Amino acid sequence: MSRSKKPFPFFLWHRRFGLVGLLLIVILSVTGIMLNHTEQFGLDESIVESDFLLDWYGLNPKGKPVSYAAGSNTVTQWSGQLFFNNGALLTSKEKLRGAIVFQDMIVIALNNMLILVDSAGELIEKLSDISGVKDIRRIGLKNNSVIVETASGKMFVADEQIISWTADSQKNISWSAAIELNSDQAEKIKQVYRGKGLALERIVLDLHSGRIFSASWGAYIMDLAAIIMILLGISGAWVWWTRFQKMKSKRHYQKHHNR
Amino acid sequence: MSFIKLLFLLTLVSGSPAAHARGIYQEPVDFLSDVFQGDTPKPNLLWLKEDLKEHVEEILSHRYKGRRIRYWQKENRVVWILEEVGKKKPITTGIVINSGRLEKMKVLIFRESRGWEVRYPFFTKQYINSGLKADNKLDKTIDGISGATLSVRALTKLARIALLLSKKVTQNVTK
Repeated sequence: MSRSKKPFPFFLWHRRFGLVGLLLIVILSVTGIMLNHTEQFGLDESIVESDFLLDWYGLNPKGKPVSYAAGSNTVTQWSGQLFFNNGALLTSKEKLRGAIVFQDMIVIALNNMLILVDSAGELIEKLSDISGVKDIRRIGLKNNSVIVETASGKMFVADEQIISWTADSQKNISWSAAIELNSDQAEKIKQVYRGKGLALERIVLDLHSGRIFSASWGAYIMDLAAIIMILLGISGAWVWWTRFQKMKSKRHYQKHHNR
Repeated sequence: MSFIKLLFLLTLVSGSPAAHARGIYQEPVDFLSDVFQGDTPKPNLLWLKEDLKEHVEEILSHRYKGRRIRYWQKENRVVWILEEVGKKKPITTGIVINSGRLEKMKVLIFRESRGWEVRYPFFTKQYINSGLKADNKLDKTIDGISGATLSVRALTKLARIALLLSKKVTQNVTK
């Protein structure tokens, strides 16, 4: 007579699923309740100030700002964003190389681009195709004309409308020099970089969906939590059913054998 | 058999048009050189005064950032290198206007992942010889391309702007 196999220990799996999914299910449930009552909790109005979370979301500029003075104005680049005084100008991956006042404009030099703005910071023209002038290293003024130096050490001077460029030699040039921003200016620019900031609602939403862990695979973590909840339900029901059957047979046995 | 099918599918995917959609089809400098047969004139500047800027923004249906635009002119031919966003990224287009009529249009740089069909001559040739009506709309009907509606719309806007600006430039010369 062969020994009967031990039944599949569902209660063990039920316990394992519970332990593995506990933290995720708590996050899912708590954030779910919070999202159901966004207005009561004021999630959309609460702005997060934590540097850790702002860094996590990329809302804090990285590295140090690079600034150049152009007359009474300051041009700054921080984390790829260009600022004219305290206002955002444009985003560019190219490095800021300097800024000068020319006629009634401010000429901002990036590696392969010149940006012309007026004194209010309004864009006049973006010159991304400067014929023959590549990889600018610095910009300056020579006899009231715009002059740039490239990585190869060559100099090019522009005509008065900054339309055409001619090769030039280095003499009596006033180069644009980098300046240090004081902490107040840096803080103002940081605030502009952050824009409206990070609402608590965003964090709760991303925690609920799992995207706070990663934009690409974070959602799968919460998918896993959902699957664990389903398995918990199934294994829980199975454990109850088997125990119910056992109890039933036990009662039947007791009823017929304890007389 | 199934391996051959898989190989065929992979070939199709790797060579799918979307994979090759983005790119620089012609550098603006080379486009200018082609148009002027190697003798590109010095660029001129057109300052967008309030009324002209308003018309440009009306065509674009959004604010235009910038106050001056450069162009290249030789006799009756005016060349513009203009940009407009299709869906998310700007499409750089070279447009030649000859005596108030569009002579040539070419997509030079396409940065979007969709709508790249507008770069083909079968599409851009529709614009040839089009002019501007009094309401700053094209006097020719341009057939769209399904799946490239926003790119088509962007190119049509650029054609209208090039014609409008050329009109302004030639008016300035005749005055």
